[in-house]
Amino acid sequence: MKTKKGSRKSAPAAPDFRALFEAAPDLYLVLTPKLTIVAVSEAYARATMTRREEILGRGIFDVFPDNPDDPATEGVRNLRASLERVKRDRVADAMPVQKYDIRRPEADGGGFEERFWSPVNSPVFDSKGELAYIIHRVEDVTEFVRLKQAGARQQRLTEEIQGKVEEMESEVLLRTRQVAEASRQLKEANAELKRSEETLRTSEERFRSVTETAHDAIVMANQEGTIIVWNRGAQGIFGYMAEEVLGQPLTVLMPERYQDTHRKGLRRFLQTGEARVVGKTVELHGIRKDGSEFPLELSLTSWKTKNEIFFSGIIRDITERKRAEEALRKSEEKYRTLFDSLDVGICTIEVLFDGSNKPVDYRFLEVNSAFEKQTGIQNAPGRRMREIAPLHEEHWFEIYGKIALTGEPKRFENEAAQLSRWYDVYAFRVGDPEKRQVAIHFNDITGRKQGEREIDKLNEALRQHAAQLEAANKELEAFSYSVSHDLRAPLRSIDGFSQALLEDCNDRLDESGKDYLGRVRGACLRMAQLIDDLLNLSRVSRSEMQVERVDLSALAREIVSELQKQAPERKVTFVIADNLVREGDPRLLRVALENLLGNAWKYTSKHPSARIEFGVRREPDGKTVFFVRDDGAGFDMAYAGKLFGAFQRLHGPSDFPGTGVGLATVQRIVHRHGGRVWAEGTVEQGAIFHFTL
Amino acid sequence: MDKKIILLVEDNPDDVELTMRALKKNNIQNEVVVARDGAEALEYLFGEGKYTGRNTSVMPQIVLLDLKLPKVNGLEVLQRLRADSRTRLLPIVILTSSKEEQDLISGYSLGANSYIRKPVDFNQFSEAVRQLGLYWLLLNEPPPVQKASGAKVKV
Repeated sequence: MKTKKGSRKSAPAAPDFRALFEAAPDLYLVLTPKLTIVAVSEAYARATMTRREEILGRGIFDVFPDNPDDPATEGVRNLRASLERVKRDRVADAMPVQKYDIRRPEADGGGFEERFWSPVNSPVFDSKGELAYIIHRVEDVTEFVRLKQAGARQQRLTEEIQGKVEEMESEVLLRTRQVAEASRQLKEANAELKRSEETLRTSEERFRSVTETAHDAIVMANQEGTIIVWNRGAQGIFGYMAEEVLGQPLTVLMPERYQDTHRKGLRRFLQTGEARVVGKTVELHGIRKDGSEFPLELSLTSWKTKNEIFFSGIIRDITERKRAEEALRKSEEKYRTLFDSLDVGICTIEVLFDGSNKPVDYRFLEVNSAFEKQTGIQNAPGRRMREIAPLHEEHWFEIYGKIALTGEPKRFENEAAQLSRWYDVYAFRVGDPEKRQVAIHFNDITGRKQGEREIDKLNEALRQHAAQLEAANKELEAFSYSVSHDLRAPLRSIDGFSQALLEDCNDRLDESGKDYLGRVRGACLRMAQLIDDLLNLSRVSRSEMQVERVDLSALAREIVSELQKQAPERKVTFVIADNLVREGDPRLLRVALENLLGNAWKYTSKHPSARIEFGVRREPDGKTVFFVRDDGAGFDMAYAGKLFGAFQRLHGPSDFPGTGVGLATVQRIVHRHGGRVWAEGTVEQGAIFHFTL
Repeated sequence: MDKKIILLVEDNPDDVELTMRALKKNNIQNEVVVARDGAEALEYLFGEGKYTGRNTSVMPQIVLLDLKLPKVNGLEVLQRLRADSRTRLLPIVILTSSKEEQDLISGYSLGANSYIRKPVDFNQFSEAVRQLGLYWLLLNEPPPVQKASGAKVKV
């Protein structure tokens, strides 16, 4: 004791630490390890609205409980954790800024006041190194925090993007606390905060630039459905300037019929979280400022801050797309109609191959209406050809397989025996070559094929007929040649030796003998004439036609002058029309005219005078008809049918000489020129022969 | 001796007889050599076969050639004669029954000098023979006699 006293007295008077402590301008509280308050600075008591005598000896958390009105408060928990760390780690612990509301004295109205603190807790050890006290020093940063918060709110009001920043900031704050909680590597936490802030800033920049430059409308609304963001794209699509719509309900953008559903949907979502549109892309209609309605596509998302839910919508004007879709639909409809109304059968098939790329079958994909009519196959799509017609010819599969593989289109005609039809087909590959699809246009040509076969048959028959004719003609040729040489020779002998008899044995023959020999000779000459006429007739039929322009008038005049030379004494008037020019074989036409004019000459020979006319007249149908008219012996129309038969005569040889071959020859010649010949006559009043060429 | 021989190529004996009669009737007294077919005619003219050794420098003044002949027909004879220098210029008259166009064309193409169709009427035939003799035996100047062989003349 003495020592103590003495030493105390010997040293200068010690300052009154208690008074000093209590008067310190900073905010101090001293706690026992059991967290009982044992000292407090005047400033601390003032700042916390407490009085020293009321709090000394009490537990710190008894004096400073959490604000029961702030469910988010973590003041007690954080402070307790910090103090525990100090006790455990025996080092000072600086806490991040804390919200720690304090109780207002009952006299001042009670309740809690919001306060923010920056606390540091430091251990104090006794001489044995045991923890004796914990100094809890704080700084009241309420004003500073309030200012900061006020700034943030303002920012959120003016620019919702900042709201996100703030949210992020508070999130960062929270995270920082947690980091501090977990470790005291505050630096790292700060660095991370910095990075996060940077990231946020970048993303915010990006968001802003995307928002502003997007063609799509970006519209955000709060949970009341009030528009709070309106980008340039929205302005372009709806026609409203931002200032016209910010603060307006979303319903101004909708046709009336959607408005009720929208309000109900919004309410439902907020109450139950049931989303019908949120999180999806839907097609709706919008209303522009000018009142016009347009189709739009809306992608709606929602996001949440601590206290509020926001909606952001990306809206695209799909008028053009709808129009294009409509146009496409119409065009498809048009082609479908066309496809179905065409007569030609159309189908698309998928060619099926085996492992070695050999086409083995094909499946029908699409068919048009004509398909069934053309094939008789019903409900083809989806079915395979082998299933429909197992005996379908191999070549069909080969052709379609080749087209599917090479892409070379092909046109062909082919038989489908099992369908009992023939087809004219045009096939080409369609779509992706990998899919091996072929489009086929085809026509049932069974009728035509039958016709062709019929024609082939007829042609064959005609060819045979022609060959037979040819052979017959050759035979006739040989026959004529032979006749020409051999049939006349005996006649010459008969005539020659009859004449020899008449000459050499004249004195031994009586009158009737001479008469008989005369008849023999006459018969010979007639027969020779017959042979010649026959040969002429056959020559007319078989000789080659050499067609050229023939002046029939000139030809007739030549013939007439020869006739007149034979009997110049006859009084015959010839009337020959000029310029009768026709295409034909000149030699044959000469023969025909010789016969006709010769007949007229012959059958007028018993009349003292005669008139013979060669002329032309035009029929009502425009055809030119030539005629040779005489006023001679004529004929009985009852026998007109026999006129043109070979060796048919209407007059005896004693009346008029002849063999009955002339008109038959005329008829052949006219027929060979594709014409017609006919005659009219009256006995003793003449005849008229008509012919066309 | 200026013998103007007539070579008559004719297979029909009746025609030979009638031709001889017509010649005689018209006082044509030239020697007539008759060949019964084409082969015999060629033998005579070229001094071959049964005419081997015949003096081939003596050629007929006129050949009357029928067309339809056994063995070698008239047109073939004509062709052979015109192909040989010794008979190339020999006057040949086709005397036949036919006046088929193909015969006329072939006859003239192969170098016949004339083409006469034998009339059935003997009087007309006789007249034809008369004119023929008059023309070919009296009026017509025959080509010079070919002495050398064909090959030499051609060169």
